[in-house]
Amino acid sequence: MSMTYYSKKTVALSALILMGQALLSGCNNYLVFTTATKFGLDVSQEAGQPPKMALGYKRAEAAIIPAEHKLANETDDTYAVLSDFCVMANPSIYDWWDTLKTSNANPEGVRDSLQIRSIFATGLAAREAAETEAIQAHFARAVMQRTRMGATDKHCF
Amino acid sequence: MSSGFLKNFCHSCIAFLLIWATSACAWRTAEADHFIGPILFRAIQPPEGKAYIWEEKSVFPLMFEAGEHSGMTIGLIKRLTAYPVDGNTNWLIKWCSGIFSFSCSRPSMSDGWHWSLFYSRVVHGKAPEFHDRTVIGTSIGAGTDGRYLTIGYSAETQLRPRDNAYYIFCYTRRDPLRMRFEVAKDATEFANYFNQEACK
Repeated sequence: MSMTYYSKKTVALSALILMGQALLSGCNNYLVFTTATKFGLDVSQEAGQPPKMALGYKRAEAAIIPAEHKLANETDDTYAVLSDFCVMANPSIYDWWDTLKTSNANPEGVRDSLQIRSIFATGLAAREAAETEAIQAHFARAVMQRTRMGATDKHCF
Repeated sequence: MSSGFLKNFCHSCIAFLLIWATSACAWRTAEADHFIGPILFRAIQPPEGKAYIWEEKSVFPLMFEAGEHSGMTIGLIKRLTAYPVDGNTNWLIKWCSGIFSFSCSRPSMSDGWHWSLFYSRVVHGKAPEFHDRTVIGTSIGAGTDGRYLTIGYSAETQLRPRDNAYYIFCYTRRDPLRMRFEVAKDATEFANYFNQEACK
């Protein structure tokens, strides 16, 4: 359970993942990526997990690899995901207003409440991508860049 | 006919009209979303956009959902869904506004929000791989958008990509129709996504 009241929070999350993990059972996807902002009472349940309840303010970003427990082979690899995720979340009162209004105008000066930039491959495509030189070079560069940048950069693109 | 019967009949009609006018229903399937009651809708697709996107917004504070996702919302709901561009141009988002209407239109960004008062359907051809659901009020539901009960403000996104595929996904909630959601055909094309300008 997460409880933080009125904490205006900017979260910058960059994850470089090349891993396999069995977190849930009964899901068909190799990868599920979620973000959430809740204010109030929230009761939710994900497949194979007990129900969760949150009261107050809650933010979450999660990349889940709900693979079944089976060994990788030449035709199937449920454990392989190669990804570069960046999430910038800046929940504000503007989010509420934006849900109500019907115009397409996006006033200048209003900060974006959510940005997601993700480049990823799943299954056998991830294995093939990991062997590509240009992609290996990108990940090496990205690690160095993010380490220098830390959490000061408030946007993903 | 007694006056009591007429009175009850009138009250029932008024109650029905009030519920009709202040609520909307959505029936969701993998290929189409059907809407009954007042709702706002907009969409974008290639070549105008870089993804197949459709978005709906409730107008009045009561909405029921059924089909692949079932639930009820007392309050306002905004739901954006999308699937990627993958070189297959057979899929098109179509907007049909009559029950027996076979001539559906192709919505575009320049149309802005479409109003639907009685019945309309969005034919999207295949199941979405991304959704962004925002609710202000009380909502309970189960299905493709998850299992939840929320009271207050809730904004949740979920990306469920297909297996054995190369993706790029760029999304900004401030301007959601600018989303880039594409599937590359091979690792070489995928490597081109890794530059700083890919999401701009």
